[in-house]
Amino acid sequence: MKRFIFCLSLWLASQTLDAESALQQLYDAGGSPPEVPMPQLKTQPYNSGSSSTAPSQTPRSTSPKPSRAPSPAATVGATVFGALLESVLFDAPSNEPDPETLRQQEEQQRQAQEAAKRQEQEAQKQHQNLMHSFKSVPVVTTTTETTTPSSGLSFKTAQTLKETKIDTSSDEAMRESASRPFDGGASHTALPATWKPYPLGKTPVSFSKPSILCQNKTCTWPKVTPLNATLPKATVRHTPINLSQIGIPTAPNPSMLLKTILTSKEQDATQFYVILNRLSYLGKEIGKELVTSIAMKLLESTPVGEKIALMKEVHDLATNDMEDANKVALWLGSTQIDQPPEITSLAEDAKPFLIRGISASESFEKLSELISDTNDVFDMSAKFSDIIKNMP
Amino acid sequence: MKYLIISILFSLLSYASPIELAPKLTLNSMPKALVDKIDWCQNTQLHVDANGLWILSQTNLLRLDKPGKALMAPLHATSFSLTKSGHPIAIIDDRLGLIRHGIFLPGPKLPDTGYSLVQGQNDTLYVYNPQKIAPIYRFDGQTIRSIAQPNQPVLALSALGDGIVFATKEGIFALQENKPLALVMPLSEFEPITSLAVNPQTAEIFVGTPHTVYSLNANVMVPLVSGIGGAIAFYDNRLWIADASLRQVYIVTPQ
Repeated sequence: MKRFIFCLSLWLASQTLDAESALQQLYDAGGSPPEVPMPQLKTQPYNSGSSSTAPSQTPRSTSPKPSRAPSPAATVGATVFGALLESVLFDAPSNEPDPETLRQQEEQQRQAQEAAKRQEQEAQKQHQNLMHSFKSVPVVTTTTETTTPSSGLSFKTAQTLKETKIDTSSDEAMRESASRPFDGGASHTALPATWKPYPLGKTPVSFSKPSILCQNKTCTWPKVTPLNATLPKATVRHTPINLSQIGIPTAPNPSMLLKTILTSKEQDATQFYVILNRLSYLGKEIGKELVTSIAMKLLESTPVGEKIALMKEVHDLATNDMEDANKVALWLGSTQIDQPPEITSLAEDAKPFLIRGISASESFEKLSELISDTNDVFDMSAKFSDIIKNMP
Repeated sequence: MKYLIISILFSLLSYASPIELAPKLTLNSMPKALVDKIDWCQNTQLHVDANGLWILSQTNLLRLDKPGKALMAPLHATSFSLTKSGHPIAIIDDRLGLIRHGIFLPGPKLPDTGYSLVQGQNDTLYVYNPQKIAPIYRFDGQTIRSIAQPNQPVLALSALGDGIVFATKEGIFALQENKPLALVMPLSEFEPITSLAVNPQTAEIFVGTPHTVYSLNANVMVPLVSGIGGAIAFYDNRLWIADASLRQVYIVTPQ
């Protein structure tokens, strides 16, 4: 009989607590119904082994009962429950247990609770120790620090941010701070500046109007129109561009002028031009290496060693100052060989070389001397000088 | 003997894929005694905020910063999140529902199988489907809005402000109401994206793949840590990574 009454009362109480209303009430109340102990859930320790079930159940049984206004069903249930309980109590006064037994039971319960609490505290302590013993992971740290413009930096700037912490001083403060957005609500302002997203199409996307998901136990999920955005296709170039076919720009281009100079004696114009173009894009060190090797090859077979040296000079100029490079290139292309332009970006000792390199074209012997003198500017190898010396 | 073989296998595995970390970051892992308690599931999820560090395991939602679990009886949840008040919300058996006092209270049935959920602004939820082409919904506990239906399954989604950023196999996209869909980063022939997280202060996006975690900022994608991956979350100026294949939880912190 008692069991039946208990089941009946449980069933009636459960009528007021069905799942949807729990969700709804949670959200209606701004995410925190008052009876809920907010951050501290009554949870079961999972790492305290097989003995974990007993201690965790004890505190759960003492959790506060819901305190919201009861529904009519609950009121009826409570009335019936009260009446039945009354009848049961009055029916069986003789079965009242001995006060001594009751006291012993209470004592046992208290001891069990204390033991459970102790165990829980121990588990907590053990867990905290574990958390504090976080181990640093040995990693192979990459050395490409200079090429990471975003990772470390913006990650780092976030160090100054103020964390939104849940205020647990009172129920009211807890609810208030819990309903505040985690990011303070200002994050979207950083969005367009950081992402620079590429809009796909011009049609704005409108979300569907808010509708109640579940009414009368039926849930309706709103329809949605598919996004018909086509992604811009990334193009991969497979055909090489014929650089020599690019029109001559109105402003003098050092590379174009050099090409003109070099092709005056050299047949394979396109090849030279491509080499020059590539050189101008390569790093300084690689460029030097390449220029040295190319120059050596050319000097072995052709009589344009003098101009190769100039090519290197102009290339260096171009990496330093495009304006000066233009001046030199113009000058090289002109007939006014005795009036060198005034350049500002090169080292002082490069100037005499430039001037004399052109005018003193009498002998390769002299050129080689010049090159060895200005080795620090040119950084040419001794082999380079030897080749020039041995030339006819 | 069995343990010896397993440890040898693990050491070989770790030798095969060394963990590389970008400069100015430190990497920490959880104590072994703690992560060994987790019954890992391959599609694990991570949730970190003021309500604690939670992880989706095979049969429960486990709290890692304190000993705790959400479900009294083991149940297989496919996705979960936490409300601002600290209540877990999970998808179990394709039903969305709250977990209160260790009991799952099943709520509305989702329109299809395979849905996942993620926390949104102001105690809302985003529901999306990583397995098939399906709409993205926003749910506030009572009212629902359909956001959009991308033409590829949404692999990962993260809310930022009142908008979302989501990843498909084609790229990472940003979507805000009454604005056209915007492409943040095209990613054709990229590794499958498992998780997205956003630094809400700087809008820096973190992209998790099975074996690498990237940072995406100002249209530059930089690997922050390679050799580990999986589910990621950003909180407390740290990047939290749960790698189910390595059975470990990592924290990446700027130095």
